Amino acid sequence: MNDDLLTAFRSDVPSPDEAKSREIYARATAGRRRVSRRRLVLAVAVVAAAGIAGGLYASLGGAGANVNPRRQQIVNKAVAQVNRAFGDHRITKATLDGSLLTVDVPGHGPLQSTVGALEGVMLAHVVEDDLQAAGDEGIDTINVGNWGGGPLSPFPAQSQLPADACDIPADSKLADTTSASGRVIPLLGGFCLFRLTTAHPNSFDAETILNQLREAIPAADQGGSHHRAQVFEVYGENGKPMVVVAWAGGTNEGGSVYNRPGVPGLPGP
Amino acid sequence: MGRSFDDAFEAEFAPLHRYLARRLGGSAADDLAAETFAVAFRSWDRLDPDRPVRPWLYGIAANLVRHHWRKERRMLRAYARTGVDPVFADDDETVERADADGRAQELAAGLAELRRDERDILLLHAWAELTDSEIAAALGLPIGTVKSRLSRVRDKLRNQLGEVGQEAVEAS
Repeated sequence: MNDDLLTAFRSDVPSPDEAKSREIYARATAGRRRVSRRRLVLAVAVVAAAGIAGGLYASLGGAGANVNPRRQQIVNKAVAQVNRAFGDHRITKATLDGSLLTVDVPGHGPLQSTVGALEGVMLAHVVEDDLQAAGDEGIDTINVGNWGGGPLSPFPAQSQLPADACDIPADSKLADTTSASGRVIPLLGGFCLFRLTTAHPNSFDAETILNQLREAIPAADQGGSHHRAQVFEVYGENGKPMVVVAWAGGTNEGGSVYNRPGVPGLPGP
Repeated sequence: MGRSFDDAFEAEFAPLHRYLARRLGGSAADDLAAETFAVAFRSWDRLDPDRPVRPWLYGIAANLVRHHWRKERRMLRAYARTGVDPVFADDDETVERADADGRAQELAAGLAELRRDERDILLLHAWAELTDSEIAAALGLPIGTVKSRLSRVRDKLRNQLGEVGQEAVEAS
């Protein structure tokens, strides 16, 4: 067996030491992402962008002939899970064609372009997890209606948030805010969705308010090694969205921001 | 079953990392092993308690390695061409090691020309030391398919390598 070339080939690659083992364990269980990740950056969304992105979707969309029923069943379950988690049923359909996941988020408008796109991305991560858990080949590319397409990046593992992790403290002083609530979206370890209303959209300082929430609520902290997604919605008293932020999570991930014209709002990601 | 993630990590991390390092180098192995166990960690509660962990982990890793198969091919070709193995890029002994065994360059050239699925099956067998049934479970293939592909890829590699390779492949 002294000429067992294949077995000997690169057999002198060293085994990982204890420090490496600890480091990788920490990364795997605490959610630090790999260095050579592919990035997914969502476009900065403004109302006018929705139609442009729709064209890209149309050119990339449509299920092909390579839809495996068993893999599609995993997708369908994930669609139900994501719709249930967000409670808005924006995703009407998702199709896994080979390694391309196409997500239908019909309609236009600021919420579809921001939160709807995020829901599509979250769906892709849920599907990716479920495929890999099933020993299946994962997703290479996603194509989310009203936003467009791109490669799917890995999503960091996160510890599970408790159900009240995004509750806004009762003593919070949020200027120009009529009502405010926060809740955990129970996907991928959980992340916060904040929903506020204001009677004074023209003076509403979204950036300050969001920073206040991030300081007061650890689960909403976006600094350091935190990679959770986040949704921040501000409505006028007429029920129309004034500012919407949908952050896909991760220090190198992207997000989308909608600012109603005339509202100070927030800068793009 | 009482299996814990920590037990699985303890038992499987080092061999899995080493397998990945042999394929793509230490740095990539760090990333891929971390991602493999991150997926496992997130999915642990949903894992069928009767499902063996080892092939499941290597199946996750195989899916991740597939994103790097072109890089792997480039590295093998580079080794075959130059005698310097990129897997040991940070190792001072690289050139000495490579020059000491020209047959390894022939093998690298042969491995580089294998199809992605062929390389997976062969290396899961030869380097990860998975059984045929474990490879089948890892890659989601019938065991008969694994056996026939393994036989075929050995023939293919044997033909690519000539006599020196034949001894090597048969020995594996």
